[in-house]
Amino acid sequence: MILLALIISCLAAGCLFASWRSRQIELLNWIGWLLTFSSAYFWSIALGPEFGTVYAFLIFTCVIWILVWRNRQEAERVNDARPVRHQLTRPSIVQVARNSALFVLAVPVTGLVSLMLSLVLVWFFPLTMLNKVTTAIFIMPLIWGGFSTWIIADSRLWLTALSSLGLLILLCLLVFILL
Amino acid sequence: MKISLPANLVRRSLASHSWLGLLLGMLMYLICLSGTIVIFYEEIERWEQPLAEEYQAMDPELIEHAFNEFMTDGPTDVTEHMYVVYPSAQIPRVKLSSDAEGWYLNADGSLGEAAYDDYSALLTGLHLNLHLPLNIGIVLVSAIGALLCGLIISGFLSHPSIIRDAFKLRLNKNSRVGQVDIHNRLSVWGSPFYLMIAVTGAYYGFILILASLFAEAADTSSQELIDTVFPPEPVLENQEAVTNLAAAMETVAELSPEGELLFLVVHDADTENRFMEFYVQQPGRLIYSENYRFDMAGNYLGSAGYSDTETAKQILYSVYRIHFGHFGGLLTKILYTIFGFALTWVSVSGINIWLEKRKKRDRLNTLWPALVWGTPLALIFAAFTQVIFHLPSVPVFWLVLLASLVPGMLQEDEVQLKSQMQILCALAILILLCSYAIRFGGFALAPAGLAINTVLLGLALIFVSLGLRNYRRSQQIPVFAAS
Repeated sequence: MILLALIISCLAAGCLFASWRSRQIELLNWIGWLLTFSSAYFWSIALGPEFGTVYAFLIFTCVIWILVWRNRQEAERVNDARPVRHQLTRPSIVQVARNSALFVLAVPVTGLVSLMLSLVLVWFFPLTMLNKVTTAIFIMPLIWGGFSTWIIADSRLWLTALSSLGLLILLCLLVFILL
Repeated sequence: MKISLPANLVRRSLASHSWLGLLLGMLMYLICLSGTIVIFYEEIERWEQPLAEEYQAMDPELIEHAFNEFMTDGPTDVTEHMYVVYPSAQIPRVKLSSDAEGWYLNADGSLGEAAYDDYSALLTGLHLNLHLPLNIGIVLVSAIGALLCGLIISGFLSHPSIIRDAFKLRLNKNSRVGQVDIHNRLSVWGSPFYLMIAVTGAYYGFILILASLFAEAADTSSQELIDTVFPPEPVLENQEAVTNLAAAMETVAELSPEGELLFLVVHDADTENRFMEFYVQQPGRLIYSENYRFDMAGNYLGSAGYSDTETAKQILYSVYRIHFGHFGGLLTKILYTIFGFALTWVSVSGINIWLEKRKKRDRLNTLWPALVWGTPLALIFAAFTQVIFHLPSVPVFWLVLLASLVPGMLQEDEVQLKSQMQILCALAILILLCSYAIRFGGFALAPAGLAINTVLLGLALIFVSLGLRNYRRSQQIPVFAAS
């Protein structure tokens, strides 16, 4: 069964690669993704559902990387490194201040917001306390990552600062007073 | 084929990806590299002490006798927890230890060589808390895990040609294109694994904080909430210091005939409330273990019930093994090593791309490769001082890493710098291997030493080959000068 699961993972990667190379065959693309997800079933039969699911994704990715490596375009590397001509460039005070503010907003403030928000999001679902905590701990990093990305991407620092601090205050009120 | 994302979103996401990547780059590199190495922490622990006798199993009566003597008249003080670690495929020895120190048992049950795990602890400490105080370090590392999610999200949003370039790898003349292609192919296809690592990594630092918040919101105590996940400890009194360990082991074998006995912890060992807890790994399961509790007379008190409890509890108890790849044997470890190195490479190549993209070239262009190649050098130095001389080596690691900035400040040509650092790494490994052979003699070639020594030798050859290749490149006339 392990061999069958391995073959399906290889076929899945092969279909995706063939579809990508021909750039037209949509059907192969669909078959590739279908085989990718169905390989999890065969890996689960071979190794049990827990190990099998992990193996399905790890093996598939390894086969893909092998195909990427086989598809490489290679030429002899040349020395394109230029010698260093300057010492460290000092950032301006404005740059330091902006980046520091961005750091505070994107890391600690967003971290607090994501902790509170993950709690509030799961609080009203009809789940046991254990399920609420479990769901919250796994969505928290996703919220943090997504929120940080938005804060850094938005050029209007004042808007992100106001909205994240406002949200933090609102969430603190909810968690510590209203709930 | 292109995914059509608004150009503004792509541009801003790329800026966000660069900013976060630069913020986290070095720390992410340290965490990923050490995380990849600690997949093999058991093998490294075995390598640290090759003199101990090895065997696949030991008579429970012998273990009981040795442990009781260890508890009552042992060479170390009894601490809150006392341990018996059972033989496994990775470390085929029995270890008796307190919270502070441990010894391996000889095959006849007598106390043998001292157990050393300081170097594997150095590596795990670097991965878990960057050698900072545990409470601060673990939160910092977990925050980096959460921000890795941000890098994954912004990476996808800033990559509109994700499908068109899905299998493209151009390792040709322009080194920046090569770096970008490697970075993107490793990160896009590996992203499900990296996301899993990020989310499970964030778990460790924030579970207690989140539990406290939930407790606050639910008007209960954190401990009460934690008790719903991890069953509370039994309350016992007047327990003897000596155990009826063999009888308890027999009961464990009956309760879990297919399980693999990992270790025994005597909790509250320095009080009369002590009790025994056996950790037994379950075949085919990601949960760390099922735990069986006994009083000191060997009477069964009950199991923790991790293997047949609510799904949420099982998920929480599976986080450790899924994060560290400790399931499914050597193949899983090899797969996790491949993915771990891939994420390490992504961390380094991200900064390389940023450096190449800049219009100017300054000291950062040489300081960054100095730090990148200084890290393995520092790890090898720390292995040398710790394993050969048993010196506390956390400061050694950080001092060597700091010292590696010096060639970065002096050298003008980064290709030459890389070449020198790689050759230096190879030389350091060869010195470590020679010292290991002198220190432990024939044991360097015994199973306990051989596996890691072979890997080290392989690494030395790779470093030499990389160093020579970069040396040849550095001797070429630079293309910008030729043109």
